[in-house]
Amino acid sequence: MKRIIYLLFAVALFSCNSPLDKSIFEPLSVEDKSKLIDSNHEYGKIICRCEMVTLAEIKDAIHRPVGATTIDGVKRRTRAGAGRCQGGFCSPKVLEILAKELHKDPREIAKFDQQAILLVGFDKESL
Amino acid sequence: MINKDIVIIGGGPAGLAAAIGAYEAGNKDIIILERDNLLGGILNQCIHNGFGLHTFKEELTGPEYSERYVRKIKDLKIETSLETMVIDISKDLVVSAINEDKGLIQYQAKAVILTMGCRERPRGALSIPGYRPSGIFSAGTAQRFVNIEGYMPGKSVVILGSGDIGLIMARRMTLEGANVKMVVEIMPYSGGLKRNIVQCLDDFSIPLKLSHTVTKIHGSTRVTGVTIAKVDDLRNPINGTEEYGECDTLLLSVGLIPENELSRKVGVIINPKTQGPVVSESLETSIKGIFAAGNVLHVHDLVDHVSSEAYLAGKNAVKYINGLLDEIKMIDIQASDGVRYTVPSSLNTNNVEDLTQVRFRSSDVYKDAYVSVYLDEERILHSKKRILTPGEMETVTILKKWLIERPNLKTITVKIEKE
Amino acid sequence: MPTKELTCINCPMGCLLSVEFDETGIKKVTGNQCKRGELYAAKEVITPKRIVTSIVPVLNGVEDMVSVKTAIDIPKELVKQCVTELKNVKVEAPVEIGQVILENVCGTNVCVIATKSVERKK
Repeated sequence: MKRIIYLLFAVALFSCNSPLDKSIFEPLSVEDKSKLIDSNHEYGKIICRCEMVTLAEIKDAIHRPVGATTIDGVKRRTRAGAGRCQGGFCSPKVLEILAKELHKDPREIAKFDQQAILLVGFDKESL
Repeated sequence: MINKDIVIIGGGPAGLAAAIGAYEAGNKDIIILERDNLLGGILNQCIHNGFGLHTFKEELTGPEYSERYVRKIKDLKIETSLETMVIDISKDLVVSAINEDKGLIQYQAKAVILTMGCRERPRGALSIPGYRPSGIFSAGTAQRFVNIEGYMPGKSVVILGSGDIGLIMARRMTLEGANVKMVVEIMPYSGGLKRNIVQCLDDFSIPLKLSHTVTKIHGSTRVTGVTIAKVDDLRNPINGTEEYGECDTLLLSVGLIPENELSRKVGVIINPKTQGPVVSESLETSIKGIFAAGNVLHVHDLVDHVSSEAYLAGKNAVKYINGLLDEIKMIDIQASDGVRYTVPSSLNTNNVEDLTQVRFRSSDVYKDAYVSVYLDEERILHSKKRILTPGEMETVTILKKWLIERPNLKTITVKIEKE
Repeated sequence: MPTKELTCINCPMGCLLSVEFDETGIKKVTGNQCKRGELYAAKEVITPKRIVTSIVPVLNGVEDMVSVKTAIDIPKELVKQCVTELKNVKVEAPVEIGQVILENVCGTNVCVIATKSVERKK
């Protein structure tokens, strides 16, 4: 039993060191960044400029098992929104990506809990 | 590696004006790198008017002002690369950028102009107690949702900070159907333009609570209200003055910070008073060939000043490439007595135009005071100002001939005097 | 004679104006640094006007919203009504900067025009 656990652990460790696919973009060398973008152009679109988080990483964070469904969910998996501007710049973009990938209306997208909605309606709706 | 004489980082009003300045100075080998899918920068979401009075003698909205410059860029066929994010600048002026289609691109520049603009100070930097509910937005983010995406971020709003963005958003939110309950300002004066107090608050009877701040945010999933309190001279909340204000949204307009991560990374010396690069009269930073202009250099109030400053940076980048920029710092400009900072920080008599605009901000509100300029010990300017406030950038003009007449001049001091 | 103090909003100078007036009209304006200030003062005391800026949705455009403004200023008391009239206005792309979005807003004979161009989605 212990052996199986060690084996699984080793497999997990080694898959963490697997190469560029599903990498974290920011710390890579210039050459590796370049290779990654060539392999998946969505690594060439930066969504969170403070932490240099790419569209590919955010989409992966949403579609992976136990993926993100909220703004904070994306933040905790990718660091998008955790940098110096604290999501001031990227939260509209992350919201749009969540809505598109989850086939939801932007007004349904929440910060962390389904009641923590960001957008309350359209412009002029209350007039 | 692509060779480009001039690489401009940022296609907002500063970048656009810098490109035109460089072009009109005789160098057409320019590229503007812009991370968004359109040029114009923050002007695209500034749908209100008040832009261009100095530049075009007309009052334009942000997008209209931007359109004038974008049209000129197109007419001059100046190269731009959109959705292109610069991730690095090296000391030898290699600019690395990424783009979805082009991948990672590197430009070997002869001169780089930094025009990245600024970002907003977030809630975390204010340490306001409370949970982390939704409904807290920086004013600029709210502006993006309302003006670009078409969504309302809230129904019942309190705004912290009476700088221009906060005031403008008070009006925007009201006109789109929200109830803006008050604007709260920690200082005893507003940081925004007086015309915005009239048009954005007075017109809608939105109260401005000076010398107050938000001491707690209520609500665990969505904001339910805020506690505000009066502050003392040291800007600390006074016990017993707390009031509760029900709201579902808190907008923060609490300061703009020049976006200098790339600048810091390459080693450009930053002025702690402006959070922007230290520059000479030519707007050259401490690294040869790297220039800066616009909000990345110091946060401006008027886009017209951004444009004229950036145009000059473009012109000087060309001068630098042509070997005509004298790199010695000759004369120090000191900010003293009530002047918080000056831009530029130094002058070289051989480089200056006939008139040099030295821009500064006062560190406090002064009424019926004098702006004085000393050339070493000699007072050369002494102008009375009815009011000086940190929220409004001021200018003094230095004449080239004064410098020529004083070849041994060491220091120019700008200060505020009572008489 | 009654005097009203107000801040001129014509340009970012924000001069503090002092206006003396009676039932026949404006008698004297002081505090202005230009002619526009004097004209503004007279207007603001008797018939205050404002330029209204807003946004309307775009259909089939590369952007979702287009920014608009009233071509000239309209009476201040009609600002809220003007925005309400824009509530159900949507415009089809392409939109050209300066294009008329709504004519004769609030019966003022003033048009609301687009302040930027939006291309049609391909």
